[in-house]
Amino acid sequence: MFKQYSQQIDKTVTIEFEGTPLTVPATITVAAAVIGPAGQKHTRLSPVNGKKRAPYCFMGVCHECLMEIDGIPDQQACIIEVKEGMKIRRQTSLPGDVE
Amino acid sequence: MDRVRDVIIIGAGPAGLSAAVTASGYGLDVLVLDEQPSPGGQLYRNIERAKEDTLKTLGSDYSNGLALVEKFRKSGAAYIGNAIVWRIDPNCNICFSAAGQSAEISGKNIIIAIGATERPVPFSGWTLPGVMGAGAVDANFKSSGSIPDGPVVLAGSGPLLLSVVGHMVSLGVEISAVLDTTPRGNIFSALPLLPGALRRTDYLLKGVGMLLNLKRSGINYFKGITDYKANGSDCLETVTFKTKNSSQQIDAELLLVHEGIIPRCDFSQQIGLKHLWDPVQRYWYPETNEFGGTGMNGIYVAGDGAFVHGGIPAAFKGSLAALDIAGKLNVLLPAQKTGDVVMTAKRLLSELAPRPFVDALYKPRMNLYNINDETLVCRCEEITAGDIRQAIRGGSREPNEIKTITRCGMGHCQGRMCGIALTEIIAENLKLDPADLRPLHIRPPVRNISLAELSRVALLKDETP
Amino acid sequence: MINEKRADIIIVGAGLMGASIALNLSRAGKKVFLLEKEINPCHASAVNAGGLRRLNRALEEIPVSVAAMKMWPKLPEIVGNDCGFQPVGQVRIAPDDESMALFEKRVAEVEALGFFHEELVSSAEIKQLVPAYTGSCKGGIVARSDGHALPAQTLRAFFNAACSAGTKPFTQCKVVDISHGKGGFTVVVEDGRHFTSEVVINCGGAWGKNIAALLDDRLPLEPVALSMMVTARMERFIHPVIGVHGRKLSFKQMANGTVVIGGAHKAFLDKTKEQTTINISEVKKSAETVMKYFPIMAKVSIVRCWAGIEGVMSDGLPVIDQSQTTPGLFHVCGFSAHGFQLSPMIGRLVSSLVLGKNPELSLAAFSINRFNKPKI
Repeated sequence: MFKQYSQQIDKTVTIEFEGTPLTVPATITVAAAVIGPAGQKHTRLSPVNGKKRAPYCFMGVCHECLMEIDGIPDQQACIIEVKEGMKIRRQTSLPGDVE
Repeated sequence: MDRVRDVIIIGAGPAGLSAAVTASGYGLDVLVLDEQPSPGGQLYRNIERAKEDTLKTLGSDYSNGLALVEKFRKSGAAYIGNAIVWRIDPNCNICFSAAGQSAEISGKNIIIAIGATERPVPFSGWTLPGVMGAGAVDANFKSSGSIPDGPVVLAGSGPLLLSVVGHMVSLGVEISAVLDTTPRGNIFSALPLLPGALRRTDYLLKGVGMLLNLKRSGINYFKGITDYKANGSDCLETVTFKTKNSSQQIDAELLLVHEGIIPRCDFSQQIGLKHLWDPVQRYWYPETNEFGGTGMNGIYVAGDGAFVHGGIPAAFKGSLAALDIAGKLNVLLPAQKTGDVVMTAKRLLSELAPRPFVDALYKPRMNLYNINDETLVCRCEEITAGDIRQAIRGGSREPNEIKTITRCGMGHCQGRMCGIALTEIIAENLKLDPADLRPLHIRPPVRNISLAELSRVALLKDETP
Repeated sequence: MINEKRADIIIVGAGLMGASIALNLSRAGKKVFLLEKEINPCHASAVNAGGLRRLNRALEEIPVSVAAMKMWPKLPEIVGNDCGFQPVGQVRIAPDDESMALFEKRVAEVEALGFFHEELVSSAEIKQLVPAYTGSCKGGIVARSDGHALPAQTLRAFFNAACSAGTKPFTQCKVVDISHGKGGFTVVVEDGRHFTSEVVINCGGAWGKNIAALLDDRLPLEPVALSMMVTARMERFIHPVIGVHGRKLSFKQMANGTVVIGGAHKAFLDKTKEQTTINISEVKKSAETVMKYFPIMAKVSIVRCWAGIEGVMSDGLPVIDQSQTTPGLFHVCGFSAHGFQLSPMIGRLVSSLVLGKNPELSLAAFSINRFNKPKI
């Protein structure tokens, strides 16, 4: 959905998205990396009905960008910057009872 | 970390930074906590690391922030970035999380300066990936240098919408259409307020310039549209809308929506300050005095989080809060305080001159929440307008009761995305004035922290009631 | 002429007890006014943890609790709503031999009264019922058809059912004065309105003491704020409601996967503003305890903490009785943070009591006499 505007990118880091290594600019947010270089349209599945969701506000309000970062769930990907070796996963399970 | 600071400021946007600079200037012991990796807030987000082309595209509204951030860096105020505050209390204690560790710290005063956010307005399809806030795209560009890749539709109303259109044009983003929902009648109710606004022609000319640029750019610009909807199965595919005479459909990769700006009341609500309803811009805001002081001793709210006036007024409001604190801590002689306050207040008033006109011109449309029963209102818990209306038919009228019955506002965002819509839907259904309702409670932790982190939070002391 | 302000019975407080009693009295044909100081029925009735527990109740409450438990599955017929009832069982773990010995004695006492809902279980069965528990375990007690329900939904259902049955609700009516004379009671509310009736029932919950004081009855009742927290959704890891003996730990995983954690952790209470503030060190302790016994929950995020205001009696038992000094005044309050489960039955019992019929179960244990020594 998104691409990098600037042609010159000074520094990059390598992160892992769903187990796949990905090289991205060093100062972008996790959410930007996921819907940009990682080529994804969604950051999470609704924990209620599994529907796909993507960041809405990009400023820490909507909580649609909650992702598992380095093993910790429910991290707000829109305000956290990528780091070398960071492991990012979508929270895909649909918890609770099947209703 | 253990010492009690004179003032702890939450948020490093225009208000927080300016408050920090002012307070430090009078020798106060200041700490600023901010959730972003670098100071700037949303307006000046990531400004210290902004590339030349970013500064150029976003113009002086953005680049002016560099001077403020530089002043802040030199001010001597302590600063912790990537710090997520998740609770404040009436004794001016703050719990925050940084690098996976939470700690409690204490101040003599707290300035809540967490700014504003785009008004969330539910509409059909607004949860589809590909639908986001117009300001969100600006934020993503500032923080990460990312721009939309594919055709974009922008919809809604407000100065920020026009400003984002301008940015998208400069960045070479393909714009399929701009759908302006501003009611045609607004201009008539705004006109009587124009004389006041004329005291700041620079501000008005900027707005006129944005409109002219939009018209000159040859973009598909629809005025007075209604009923825009996002359609698609897994993600956005098309946008439909109605003009006066027809229904239309446009293919789009992204739909960027903007329906005005509202204060972020996370902490003012969590701590239990009284909130008032603004009938023009239709949002809750905390009751404050001219310095941002509140009904709680030592708790201040400054900037757009107190009332939306924009970035430059926010900075003056931050300074006023800091001046009041300096006066109370006796580092400022009364005469000196009066002088500085008068000067700051004068400049603030000058900045506010155009505000009533602009607020009336971009007054949210009457039918903003006239949404069908199937539309999701609470994105976190998947609660529809129909669910809310059913609870109302079931006899509930208090927002917090409807929350506990329907789960609307009970998810991760704690009603930040649905709270105003819930208020408006109740008011509309029961023919009540929203001002007579109460905003949804926000409970600590106002941001998610893990159980493990909570169990290890470093507290100042253990108290038992 | 019909007197608009005259009722047979005025109930002060539209919490769950007030609503349940109103429902029964209205169905018995009485004209009932239900006065509520808030804009809607709320407070502890709506924000409690929702546990339905016969397990480990005070022996005095067991007959009422057992009878109430039989009503919960029938609420759709009684109030037209299932109230979110989930009969998933309640389990109490004995972490050491001492607590297991207490449990053995306890079950014997319960059985001696003729009740058999509490069962001693082995540590092996606890392991099976609560596989995620990692603390020490010497066995436990279970009540297999206990469970939990949704408080806000339950309160609204009882309130609406009462109103449908003819109860007239008056919200935003804080009672400021009650007087008793020849014509019965005169109840004055904050805005100056007067209501009159033959009978007044004090269902004031945490504020029951203040209502009683208006007619010079003294109740040893204190408002207490108890905090709870709720997690994000988790994959199902537990069915029954869990408590661990001697530890401030009690929680349940709801049908939607969220976990509601209680454990009687106190919060700060501003009695005049009626505002609660969580005590962060108590919340921290609660998190430590959960972490220690259920490390499976370490990573789950806490979505919010809140506190409700409960009316707690000095001996932990409610008062369900007629005033000794003012005939026609009844006190039904002080359920001490465990009234939710009893509420459907309390409506029935108090209705009989007020109507001068013999209640189907003895209320002797809840008499006001136990505090009011006769004045000389």
